Amino acid sequence: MRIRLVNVEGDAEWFTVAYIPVVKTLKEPRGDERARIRRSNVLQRVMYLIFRTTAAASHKGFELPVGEDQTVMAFPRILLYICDQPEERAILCMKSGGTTYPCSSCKVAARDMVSAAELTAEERDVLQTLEKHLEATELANFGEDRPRRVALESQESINSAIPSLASFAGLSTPPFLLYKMVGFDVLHVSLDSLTSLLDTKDFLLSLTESLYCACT
Amino acid sequence: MDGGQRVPLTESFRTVDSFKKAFSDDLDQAVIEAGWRSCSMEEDGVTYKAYFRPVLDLVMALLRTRKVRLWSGDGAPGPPTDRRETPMDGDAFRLCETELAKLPGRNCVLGLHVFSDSSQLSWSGGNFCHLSFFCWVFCTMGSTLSHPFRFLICMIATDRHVPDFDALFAACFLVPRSPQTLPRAYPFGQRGGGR
Repeated sequence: MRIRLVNVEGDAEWFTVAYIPVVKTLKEPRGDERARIRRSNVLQRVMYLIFRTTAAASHKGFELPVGEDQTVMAFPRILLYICDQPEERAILCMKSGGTTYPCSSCKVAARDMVSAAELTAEERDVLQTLEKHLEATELANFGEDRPRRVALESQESINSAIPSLASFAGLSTPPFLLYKMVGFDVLHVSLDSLTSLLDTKDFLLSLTESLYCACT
Repeated sequence: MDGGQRVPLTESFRTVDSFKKAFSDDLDQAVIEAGWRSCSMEEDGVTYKAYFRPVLDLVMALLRTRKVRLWSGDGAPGPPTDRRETPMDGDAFRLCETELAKLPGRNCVLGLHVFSDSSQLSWSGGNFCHLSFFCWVFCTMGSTLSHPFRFLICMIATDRHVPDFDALFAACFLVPRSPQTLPRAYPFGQRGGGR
């Protein structure tokens, strides 16, 4: 896992902050499902480890000296989380496949995807969804009221776990960016990245120059 | 036992297990000396070990050692804009600034971008696709690419060890402005940290 502080001027610098353990599927009863749950939980726990103090600072802030004897209060905020789609579902504790609402940012139904209904779909309500996460997690932890828990999970296509990033101010507090922060890793959209690469002005210029040199 | 070593390895490490533990301890020590932390966590009966460093520590270090801009405007939060020259022009950053402006005192936003590839990249066959893509790039655009970029493609195409394959792609596809700037954005080494 890597992070970048966007306030730093100059070239973008990415810093590795964690190595997430590989969780293998073991040969055991319901091995696939248990490995999936383990994988999801380990990811959430590692994220909690690295962001624990930052999440606290995002609410309380910390003093940052500017100039000689002046200070400002600095508040960290997560603005963008770059990952692929399965990981997006994992970090937001949402069901990954075969769900009624496969979109993490809106409530478009799976049957309405790739249609006009998608444009008018209702946005996900961050607080409401997190409250359902909390209730489902509590029911799962105490092993109570399974039908209610299953209903909660299917209503929002969520898992019975709490996303650790929800503790961040700005994601679960105004401006509520929890479901808007995810940007896909363009590695997994090779055609788009290729197109954007080819569209760059510099590339076209250098290509033109090369062709000109080859012709002359 | 080799020529320069009088005591055989089995003399120092009586069992395979003791050798493994010694190796693991050395690794832990190196990690801790580098300012990282390790954590063992048990999940459904299986123990996993994670290496990490708190993001806040890193942010504080960056604030001390780098030149930073605290506000999107000149010494204060800027108004919404259509400009997209830096991440600080983005809506997310300015929305956060607007929210913090409601608090008393002078406040600023420290924006974080997070990148991770923990779930699927290594299992999805993506490496093969990327290799194919790189070979295609090399064949079709070789003459227009800078030397470091060509070198990287050669390393991958010839199966030589690349210290951080995922970071390479992060650099090449997430940050680029143009093909010529790709090697500069390569984030590992002294500045970004390798795998």
